[in-house]
Amino acid sequence: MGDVIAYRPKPDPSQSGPKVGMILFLSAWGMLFVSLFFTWAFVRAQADVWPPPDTPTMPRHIAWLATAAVALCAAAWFGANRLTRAGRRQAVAPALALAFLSGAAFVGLHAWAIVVGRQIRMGGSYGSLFMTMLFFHALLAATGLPAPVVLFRRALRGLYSPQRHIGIRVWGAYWYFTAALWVVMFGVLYFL
Amino acid sequence: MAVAVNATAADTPGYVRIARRYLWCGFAALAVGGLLAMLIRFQWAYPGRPVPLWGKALTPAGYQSVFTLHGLTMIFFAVTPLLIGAMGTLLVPSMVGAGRLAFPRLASVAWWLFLLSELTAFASCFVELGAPGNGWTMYPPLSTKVESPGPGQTVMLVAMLLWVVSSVMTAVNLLTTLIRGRANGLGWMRLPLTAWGLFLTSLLTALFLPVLGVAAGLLFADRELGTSYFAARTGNPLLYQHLFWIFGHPEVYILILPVWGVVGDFVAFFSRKPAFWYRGTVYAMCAITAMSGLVYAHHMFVAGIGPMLGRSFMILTLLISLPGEVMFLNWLLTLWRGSIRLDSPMLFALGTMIVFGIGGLSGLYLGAIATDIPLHDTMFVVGHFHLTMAAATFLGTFGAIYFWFPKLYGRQLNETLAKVHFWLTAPLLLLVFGGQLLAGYMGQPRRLFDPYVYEFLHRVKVVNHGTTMFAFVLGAAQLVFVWNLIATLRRPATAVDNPWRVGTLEWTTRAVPGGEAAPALVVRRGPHELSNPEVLAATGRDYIGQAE
Repeated sequence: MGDVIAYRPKPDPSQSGPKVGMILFLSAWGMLFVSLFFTWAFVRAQADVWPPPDTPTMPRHIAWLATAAVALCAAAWFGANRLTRAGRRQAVAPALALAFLSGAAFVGLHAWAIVVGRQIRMGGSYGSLFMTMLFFHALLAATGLPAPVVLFRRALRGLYSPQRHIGIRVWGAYWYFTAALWVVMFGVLYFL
Repeated sequence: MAVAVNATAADTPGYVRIARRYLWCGFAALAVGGLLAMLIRFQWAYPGRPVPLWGKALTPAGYQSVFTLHGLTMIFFAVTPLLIGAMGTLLVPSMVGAGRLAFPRLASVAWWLFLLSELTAFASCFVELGAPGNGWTMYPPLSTKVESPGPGQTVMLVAMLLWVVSSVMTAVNLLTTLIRGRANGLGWMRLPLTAWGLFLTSLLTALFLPVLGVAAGLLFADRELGTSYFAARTGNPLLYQHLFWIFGHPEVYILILPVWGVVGDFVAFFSRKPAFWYRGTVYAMCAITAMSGLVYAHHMFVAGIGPMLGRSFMILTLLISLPGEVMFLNWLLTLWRGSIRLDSPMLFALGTMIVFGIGGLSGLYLGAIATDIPLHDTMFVVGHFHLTMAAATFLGTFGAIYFWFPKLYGRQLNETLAKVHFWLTAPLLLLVFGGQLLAGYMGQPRRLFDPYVYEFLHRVKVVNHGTTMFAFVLGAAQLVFVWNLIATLRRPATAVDNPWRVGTLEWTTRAVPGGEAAPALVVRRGPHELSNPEVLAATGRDYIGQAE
């Protein structure tokens, strides 16, 4: 017959499910970028000089601007989370609007960097890597852009409370991941 | 106890409807892939002769496209939707007592993306210069624009990328359902082995399919955007091989892990015994999953990797067979002195064990460098992976379909026809793919348009003629299943009340759309509580439901 086991009360699936789902989703994205860094290391290890001689390099000011944009975006998400927890409902929607605008600026700056890269004819393995990694990171950021729009509309309708705001928490985590990854990528692409 | 599938379509849970769609997509791809296999078999036996019913002979380029499409169709669009799409989507919510998927809308989006990827892949046949013709691995430089100038390769890469996105979505959904949707009391060590197989498969899918996404994305960029990752002079084609096999070897386990779970459950159910050392089987499956990403370079022993690296991967490859042995022995010891019932799912499970056993043993020769080098790129490799990835997954999948079909359509497939299907299929699978092992051992390289232009391969002709005949009979034998399927679906739906007399949740509890009933469910025991004398004395049955 059945044995007796102790079990904890189940966490509310509507709250814990999205959290687990986001961890898994970010794991998949993480593996994609691990593959890209593996590719970078593979190509980099075969080159005698890096960047290869006569290869134009990307101006850094766009990357610094992008870093500022993504940092602002992450801060906006952090603020939205804290404000929701504090019960300050009116301030949540502006924080989400700021998150969207800074996130969109970040995607735009990546797009600008890719355009500049093509204009200065970054080619070969160095240029290919640069463009591809920027593209995939822009894709990661663009995938997270609809979230603040949806959450903004919900925040305007007053759907979030200090207890129930899982959407803001998980999408905030998504953008923290995006920002942290950009910091690593910035270092790898521009300084190594 | 009640049935999970209700008689009216409106009452059928959404996840069941999505599982059905995957099932039909998988069947369609299986039919296309099977017909392509017949063309390949005909070519090996009678190169240059007109194909019956078609009237034309295959050209070398056409033959290359045929074997490429066959591989891609079977792996990505037949086995995956049947096992993970249909069975995963159907079983995970009901086996864990959730009554729904964690993200129902995501499941729907994933299916539409899957359909789009399947249609895109088949669309590659209709573009200028036809479908790609460089094998399912799509190795550069063969797949670069220089060697494959037509748009077919690019279209196929787009299909791959869509497939990756869809599969990751499904995997995240199944994993979240398994992690967070389990009923009260359903601890990890009370999950059916099928659920464990689907869990580990989904984990590998979520982690390793993005690597294929990168490989396909970089190849796409090389072809269409002017990058140079894989060009022989400015890049390195070996990089693609690394990326492809980092995904490709776990993909083998992605396909086989659900089947292992199904076999583990079936040998217990149909021996009327608890699974022998259930935890050992679970640990073995977990160990294989963990190691699956660490053995990939045994596919590259002849690609010029360093000897030290080669030896390391050889040792890891041989080590991964140890948990496989533990699992296999547990199956055998579950059967030992059991009250074995040879119902159709059990026959398919036993068939899976046999073909997988032979396929696994032949893999040892390919895992060791000394024997892999002469056997590399021969038909031996083709025989090996067809026994493990094709025959084993085919039999396991059909066993699962016969077992859980009542959960999909509220009808049970005809048992006699199912047994006829098995007895025609399993021995022929062994003969067809065993013949490939033999042809490879006799020296036939794979993918040759006409093997007999080489004098030394004339001796293989008799083997190829025989296996081709067996393959044609095998293909025709599948009509028994088609007949069974059509006849069953034409019958009115009848409520089927636990026909196999097992205690897992999907058979012993009512699946409630939306999962409203899930909180009330309390699981009290494991999945294989069979032939317990106390249960027999109390209920008169030799099984008891997990939540009873």
